[in-house]
Amino acid sequence: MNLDESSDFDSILDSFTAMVRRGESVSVDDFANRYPSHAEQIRRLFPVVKKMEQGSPASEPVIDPDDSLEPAMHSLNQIPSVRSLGEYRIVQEIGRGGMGIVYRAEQESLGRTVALKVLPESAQFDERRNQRFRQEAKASGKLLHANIVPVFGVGRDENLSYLVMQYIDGPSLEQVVAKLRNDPNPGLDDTIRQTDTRDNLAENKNKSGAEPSSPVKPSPSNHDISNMPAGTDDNESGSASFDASISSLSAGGHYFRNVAKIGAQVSDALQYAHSQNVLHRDIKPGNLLLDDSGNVWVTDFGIAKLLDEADLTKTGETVGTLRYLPPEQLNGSSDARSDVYSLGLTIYELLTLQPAFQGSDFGQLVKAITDQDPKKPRQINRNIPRDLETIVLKAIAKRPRDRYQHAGNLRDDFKLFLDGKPIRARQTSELERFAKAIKRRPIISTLTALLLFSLITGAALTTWKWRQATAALQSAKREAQSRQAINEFLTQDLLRFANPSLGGEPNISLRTVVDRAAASVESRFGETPEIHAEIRFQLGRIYYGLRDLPEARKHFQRSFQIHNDLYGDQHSETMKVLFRIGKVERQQGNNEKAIEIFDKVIEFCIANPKAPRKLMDAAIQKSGSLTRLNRFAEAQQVIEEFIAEARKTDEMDLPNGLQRLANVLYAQGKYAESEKVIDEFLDFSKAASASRFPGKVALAEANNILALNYLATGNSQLAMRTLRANYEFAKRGFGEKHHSTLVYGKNLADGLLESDKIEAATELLENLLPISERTRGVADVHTMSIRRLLAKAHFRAGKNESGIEILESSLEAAGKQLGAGHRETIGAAIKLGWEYRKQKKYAKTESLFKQAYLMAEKEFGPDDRLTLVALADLGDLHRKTKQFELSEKEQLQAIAGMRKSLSPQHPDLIISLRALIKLYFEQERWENAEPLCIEIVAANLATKGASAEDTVNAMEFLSDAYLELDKFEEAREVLTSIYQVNVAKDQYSDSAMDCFFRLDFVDSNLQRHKDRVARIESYCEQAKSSDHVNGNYWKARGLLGHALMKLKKFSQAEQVLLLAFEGLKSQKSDVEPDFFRKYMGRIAGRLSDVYDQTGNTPQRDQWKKTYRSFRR
Amino acid sequence: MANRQFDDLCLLKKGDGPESPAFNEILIKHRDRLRRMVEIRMNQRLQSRLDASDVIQDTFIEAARALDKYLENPKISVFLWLRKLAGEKLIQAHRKHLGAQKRSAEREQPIYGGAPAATSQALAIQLSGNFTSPSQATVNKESKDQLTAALESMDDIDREVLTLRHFEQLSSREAADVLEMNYEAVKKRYVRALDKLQKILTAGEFK
Repeated sequence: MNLDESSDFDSILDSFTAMVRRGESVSVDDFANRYPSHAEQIRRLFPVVKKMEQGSPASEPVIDPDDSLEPAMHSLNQIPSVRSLGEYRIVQEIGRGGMGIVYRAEQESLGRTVALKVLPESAQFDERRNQRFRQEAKASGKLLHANIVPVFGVGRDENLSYLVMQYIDGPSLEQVVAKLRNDPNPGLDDTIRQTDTRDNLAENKNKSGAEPSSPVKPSPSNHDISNMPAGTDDNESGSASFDASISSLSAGGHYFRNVAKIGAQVSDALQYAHSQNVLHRDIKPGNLLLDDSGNVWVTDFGIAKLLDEADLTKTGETVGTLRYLPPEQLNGSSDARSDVYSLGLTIYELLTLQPAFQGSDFGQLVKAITDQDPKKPRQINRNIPRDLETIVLKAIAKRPRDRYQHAGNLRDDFKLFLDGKPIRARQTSELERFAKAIKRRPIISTLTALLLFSLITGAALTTWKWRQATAALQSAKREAQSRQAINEFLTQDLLRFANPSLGGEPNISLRTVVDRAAASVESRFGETPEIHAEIRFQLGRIYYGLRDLPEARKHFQRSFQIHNDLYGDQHSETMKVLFRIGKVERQQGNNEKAIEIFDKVIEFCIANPKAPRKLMDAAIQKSGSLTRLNRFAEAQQVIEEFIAEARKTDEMDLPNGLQRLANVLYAQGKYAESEKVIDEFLDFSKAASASRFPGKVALAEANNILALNYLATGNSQLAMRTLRANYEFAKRGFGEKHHSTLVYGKNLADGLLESDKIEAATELLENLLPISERTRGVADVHTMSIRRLLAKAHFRAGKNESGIEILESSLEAAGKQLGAGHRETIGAAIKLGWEYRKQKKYAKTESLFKQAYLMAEKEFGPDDRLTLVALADLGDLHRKTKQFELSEKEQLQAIAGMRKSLSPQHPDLIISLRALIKLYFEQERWENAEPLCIEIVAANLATKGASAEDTVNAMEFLSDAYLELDKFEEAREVLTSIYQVNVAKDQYSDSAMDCFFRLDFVDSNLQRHKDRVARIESYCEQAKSSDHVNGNYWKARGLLGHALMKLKKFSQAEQVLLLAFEGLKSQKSDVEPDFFRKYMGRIAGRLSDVYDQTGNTPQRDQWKKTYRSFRR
Repeated sequence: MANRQFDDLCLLKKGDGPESPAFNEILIKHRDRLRRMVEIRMNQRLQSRLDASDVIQDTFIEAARALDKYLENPKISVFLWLRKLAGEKLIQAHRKHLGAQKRSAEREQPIYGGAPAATSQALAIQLSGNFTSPSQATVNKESKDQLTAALESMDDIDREVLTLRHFEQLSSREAADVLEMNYEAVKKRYVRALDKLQKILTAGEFK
């Protein structure tokens, strides 16, 4: 019962349109009568279609009408509207699809309601097939199960074959999913009722509330019911009516349970059918019906086999069916595990409300089915229980042998899940890998354990620094004691939870292990505060590595407190912890607070020359926070002071400082200076002085900044090489979960995207995203930037909807986890706003921009870069929506703010200036636009050089302004420059030709006819020798004649013009006659002018006549 | 459906580049549909300075130039390719003559499918009979004004979908390609747009 009402309507609509276009006389009423289930819509909309078509500028159809129609419509009319079949009186059509039309019918002899499935005529049978049909129907007719729609029999009447089935009153899961997708929180009754077209159209039925109303209540046999935990323990929905079932389906907490119940019921039905040697072969949401007691019914058993591929193709259903097709079925083989797979995909769709495989054409889909792993459900919706995800992923494994081997196994896991017991299927978890690592190498020392830990959690960066800290610890007085204590803690507390055989919890997460260990710290080490503080400190670092910043902060703070009690706040141990707290604040985006803390640490360092110089790293951190706040000047000052100090001693991290400085310079758009600093940094690695050799991480980071510099200055090849090398290096050197690897991967993807390698970029990002989500968190700054980039890749590939989805979910995650006033959240809102803007949803854009602006202003003040960008964007939007005054006010304000804090070459400023120029252009305020155009030309020239696309673009703006202001001399200068760049690229490109004709226009106004002649002749010579004699060529020749005439070289002019006239005439004028007519007319006019000047009256009059004739 | 587009492509591939009669034939075949696209979308101010034929001619020159590159890896049908070129030409013309429409690379996307959006003024000219054939002149002008006004009051995408489907006579699939939207989404959007238009038109009648 695959009913897709909307697609049917589309086909009817298309055929109507085609008839109107062909000029046939069509009546809306006829159509309404022919398709009663759409009658209302037809009567309402078709007159509008007629109106549109008659309003259309074309009187003749320019395309073969069949061309525009969907193939599906051809099969539509093939089943005549029947009123009765055999002893069945047809009451109403309830759906149609690839497998035929389904009617609700009355079996008059028994007075019962049945569902009749009439097979499409194209699938009508010869005798041999008819027999097969009967056999199959008989086989499925034998199936007796609470969740299988009973088949009463088959029939044939007037060459129509049909199946008689029990009538189930309820929607298919396909409809349910569609409904939930559009409105994840439907109200109790009314919303559902509106979507249930069948109820709307039923003549005499108007059921209300939860009252069971089906004329034939499905009567499943009782023994089956008792097998089904799903149907019976449904406490929430009381009488378990259809409505209640749907609303409870959608009610957050219970929804996934109910999906699991559906899974259990269907897999039970499949297990039963398989035991009777019947395969379903076409499990999909459209074949599962949900009745009003919340029971699910499997329909169409074995029917798929009856229709061969040709039939399916004809009915345009291939793609719909294909979506759920197991990969092995593409090779023609299928068994019980194929049904398991299709059910898995169906459950997937119910959980995520989207199909596992998307793609609208056959090729894409086949590729997806065979090659791609669908997105993990929990990546789509975090709330989906992990076990349910595991079950589904196992069911839809590509290789049959990796799936549940029997539907019964699948059912059992669903039941285990419903009972809250551990399921049998398991994903290879991080913990398993952890446990394996432990097995291979028994833990003895603190060091190895923690190292292992940080490696696994992707915090390799912390390990080498940690080694230094541990070294200091080991030299401490209580070394032996603390080592033993920490060791004990690790082996007894931490690892006890990690050992599956001891804990008996196979699915415990790594995170849980740490949590439980952390919980026992206080009681274990309360007596030994030094160790307690140290363990707290280390735990803080572990959580920091796991990207759980609040938890990290908690432990650091406790550690700080203990240290403070022991040594007071002016002690290097205390400062060490404080520094970490500062880093946590910085990571959480609380940069102002972080700066305060770093200041304290720096002050302490300056006051205590003997304190470890490592603590001076606080200056590097502070500079980073300042950069983040766009306080570039301060950031630069702090780091320059740090570097000056570091040059005096070997103990400070000079390379790291240099790197930070390069970063600050890069952020300000000072690319050349940034590159110089990086060069110095790289010298350190070459010099390889033992104490100052920058770590591999630092080296990679330097290369990264270098690559970004290359990218910013348009040296993209070099940039790409560096980016790729750096990513590969990091992946090998630090592992793929390492923060740096993720950053470089993202940068590489960015570069790929810039050079239009969209697929490669998408693939890379889809790899990075889950890793980043896991190791750094869903709303982490970096995860968000990966997601943004992925969305961008989707947009580039034309997948707008999925792009928007990614951004929406990103914004939601940011809002939830970071708060509405967080920079990332505001940034996400702006980004999303832009995407809506591209789709012309301006109201949505405006509200997002406005919110972003107000929030940024409130949180960070009116001069903050984020505030200014939001304001500029809002202003530019108001230009789009024609609120010019408001737009100008906002843009001027934003630009004034940017001028204060950004360099004149900063992209933000240039973009904003360009937007304002557009506003002035639109209002034809050329004199306002002119100085701004000059400014962006200068900025682009300074950063990108004369031949960069952006520079040319800015110059085009400027030349537009000059031309409009009649400043021909100035326009000439700019156009000449553009022309040179264009010609160097391609003399015959549109932009070059465009520029060429404009220059000619300018020179003509300036009376520089000699220059015109020279330029045109040079172009013509080249065009002729390179076979570019086309319309443009003759147009140019015509202009040459004009220039010569102005120079009073009449005989030359006459010759050129006559030739040009003939040239145009001989050109393929059948292609676009009007063009040639127009320019031939112009040339004729000029010829008549020439003859006028030379006193050749007869010729003058002759050509004047020609001129007139061409002017129509 | 796909067949005919495919035929175009086969013809072009068999043909001998831009000089071949096949190429010419295809240009002529699609000319009217392209011209209509251009006319519908040409800015009113521009129409006084330029006519559609200039744009079409430029398009064909460009098509000849870019043919080889297109045939290397044809991602869209021949007609949509030509339509895209015409759209680009039209944007250039807008920019050249009106000065203001240059798009910026960073923050703004080109308008739909590389062609300027159907503006209500341009539609109005279409509807008011400037380009209509005698047979259409009899159609009630009042109803056209009403239709113009109704279209003008609609959301951009809705207007665009209706324009593509009925004025440019594109199929849903072609419209989806042009709008770079999902095919199903366009079908839904189209029916919804019709629905809205119907409501606006009926509301007008009661006034």
